[in-house]
Amino acid sequence: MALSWTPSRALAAHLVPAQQIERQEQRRLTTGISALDELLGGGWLRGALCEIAGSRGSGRTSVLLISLATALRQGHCAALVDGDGTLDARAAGRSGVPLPRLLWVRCARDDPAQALAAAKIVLGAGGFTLVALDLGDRMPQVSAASWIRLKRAAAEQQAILLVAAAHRIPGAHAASALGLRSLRPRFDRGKDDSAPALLRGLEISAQVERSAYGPASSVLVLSHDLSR
Amino acid sequence: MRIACVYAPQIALQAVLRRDPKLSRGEPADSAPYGDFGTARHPAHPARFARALAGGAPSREGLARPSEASGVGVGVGGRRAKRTLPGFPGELREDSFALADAKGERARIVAFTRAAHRVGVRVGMTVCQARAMAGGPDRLRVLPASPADTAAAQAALADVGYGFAPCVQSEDDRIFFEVGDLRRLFPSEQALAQAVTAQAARVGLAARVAIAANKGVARMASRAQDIAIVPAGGEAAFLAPLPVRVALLPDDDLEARLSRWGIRSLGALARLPKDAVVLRLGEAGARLWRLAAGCDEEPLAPLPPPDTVEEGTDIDYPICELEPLAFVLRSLLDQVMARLHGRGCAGLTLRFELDPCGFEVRQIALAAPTRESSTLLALARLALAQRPPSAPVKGVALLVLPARVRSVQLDLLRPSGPAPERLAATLARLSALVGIENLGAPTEVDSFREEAVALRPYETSPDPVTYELPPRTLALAFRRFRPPQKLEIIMGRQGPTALRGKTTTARILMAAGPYRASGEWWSGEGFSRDYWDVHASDGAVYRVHQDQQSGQWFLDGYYD
Repeated sequence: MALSWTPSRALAAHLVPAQQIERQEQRRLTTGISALDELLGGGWLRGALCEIAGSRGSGRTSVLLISLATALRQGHCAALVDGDGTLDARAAGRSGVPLPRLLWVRCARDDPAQALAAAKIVLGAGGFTLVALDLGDRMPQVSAASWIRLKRAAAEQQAILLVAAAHRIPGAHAASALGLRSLRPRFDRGKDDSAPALLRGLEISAQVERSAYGPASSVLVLSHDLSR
Repeated sequence: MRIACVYAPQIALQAVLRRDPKLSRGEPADSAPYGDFGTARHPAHPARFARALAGGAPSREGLARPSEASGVGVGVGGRRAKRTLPGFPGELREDSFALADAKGERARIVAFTRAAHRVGVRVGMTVCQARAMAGGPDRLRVLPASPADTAAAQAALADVGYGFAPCVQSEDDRIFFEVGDLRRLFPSEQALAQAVTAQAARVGLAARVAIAANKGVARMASRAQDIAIVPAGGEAAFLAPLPVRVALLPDDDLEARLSRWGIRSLGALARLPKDAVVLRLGEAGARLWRLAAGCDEEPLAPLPPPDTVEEGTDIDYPICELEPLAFVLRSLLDQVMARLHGRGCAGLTLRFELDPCGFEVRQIALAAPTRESSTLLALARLALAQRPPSAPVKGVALLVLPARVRSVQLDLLRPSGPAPERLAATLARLSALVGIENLGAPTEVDSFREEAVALRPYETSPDPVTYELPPRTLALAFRRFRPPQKLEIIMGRQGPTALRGKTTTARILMAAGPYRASGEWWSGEGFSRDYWDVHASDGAVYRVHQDQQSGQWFLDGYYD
């Protein structure tokens, strides 16, 4: 007698063909943090628009820089379209970014349209695996058509467009969205309580707020490496 | 040694024709009446012209005679064959068009199209006389010759030669270069000549090509036929039927004397005893006799290509606005890109001749060599919009610094990056968008100032340094405000207790510091600052500093 099993309609909505999952795993680029990769299902999805959202001190720049560093050190080409020109070269170097290989496009602070246009130009060049678009702390009004164009450009070139902003801006246009939140800073006075305090890092929490290829997962707590 | 001569007849006229597409239907008449122009020459359609030439088959005596089946006619010995090209709507049109040496009715005609020649226009006529011969002002269009256009056409002709040989000798309307090893690249000299003619057509010039054993024979052969291959040792036989005037200099008056003696062809001249010719005609006669015999000892003096490529034009009416000026620039950029032979533009200089006098220069820096004229035009427009010319523009010249677009060796073990040429175009577009000072690879500066950063040109060439993967942990990142924002701080016993700035106002929960930093006192621009890392009530950890000289607080950025 042959065994047969029919999933319920609610469960069937969450089922993904195994071949599709294998293909997606091949098309992912690691974030550089194992725990984050697990959270995202393998890393950033190639040929898609991905998003990091988090307010000041939430660690979105740290995640952005470690993703750039990993991509560049794996031999990929990567670009950072800096929407408000706040990249700190020393901090990027500390994150492991090989600076001579990073294309840095410093855009005008009050002109998000310029940053979007620059990202589209870089994506159109082809060959850039990771294009990071940092929109800073503002919440610019970007039309849906702009995101659709950028998403298509990323899909055509099999590139990752990684948008970092204080709030979720691309919304439903993003294939995956990582939400970051600041928990608490870590100050260290050593053994002597009267000694001046030293900032040693931030504790942050990460959560996948949107994933086009699977359900959002649980919250992850990350902290900075004290030695770096 | 085999020498190729590329001759562009009436180059001043062709210079105007290649610049103005509306006029390019006119076909230049040869200044030397011998030898009819082939009809397979049409500057407005260089690609079709090249195809038409490629379809031609070599004929006997090395004469290029495209097959009759192709429908292309080539003048031979003053006779004209068919005048239609396949693919053209009807017969080639020719317009009556002439070039004068200056503006006004009293200016002298210096060049004209064949259609103008047919109605009686001749060199030396005044504009008024020429129009009367043509049947009215509407029948003949006369434009003043443009020295800038002529110089650009001469430079374009030289570039045609540099596309085939490393060194070229340039004269006013012709160039010479050694064929040498080019015979290994082309199946025959005929094919080489056709390729040269096609390349000339691409830059908008109708050229004749002759290949011979010496310069003199090549020069004469280029005046006689569209494509002439003079076999080695057969110079005298080739030249024998040609009229004497093809060997004469423009200001020579020997033709009339030789005609009175009944000597009309070079063959007849060569049969005369050399001593008798020298006795009667002197040194000029000796030179003419040697040329008629196919002997020429004039050495080839080729030069390497110039470092820059220049294109220019004079404008009929001074231009005051950006849009018409951009229209002129686009035409010039297209011309100059066609001359770069696969190289890119690494630097662009615009020179504007102003009305009534003076000039202005604009330098346009490029992030990487590019071949996209639209990108260069965008950069030029940007530069002109920022700083327009101070007076109406009556002439424009472009000076382009050519450079090879860098090739990249691909690696089997590394992901492929952007194609070099596309990357160059992308960098140029980005620099047009954000400015060249905001584009590149970040680099740390050897400075005591925390905010010091520099940009250097971006390259994707494989780096000999192999980078290890970074540790899979987060490093503390920092976002830096440029310039630092002014801030108000309330100080307590333990340090800052509250802050108020342009983008934030908050209580301070924890403060670490101060960390004193100072430097550059030796350069007269010294600084001394006390830095604090403060955890604000809005959740962020800011880095602030107080300038010890002014007491002013600044917000440097925040940890993220």
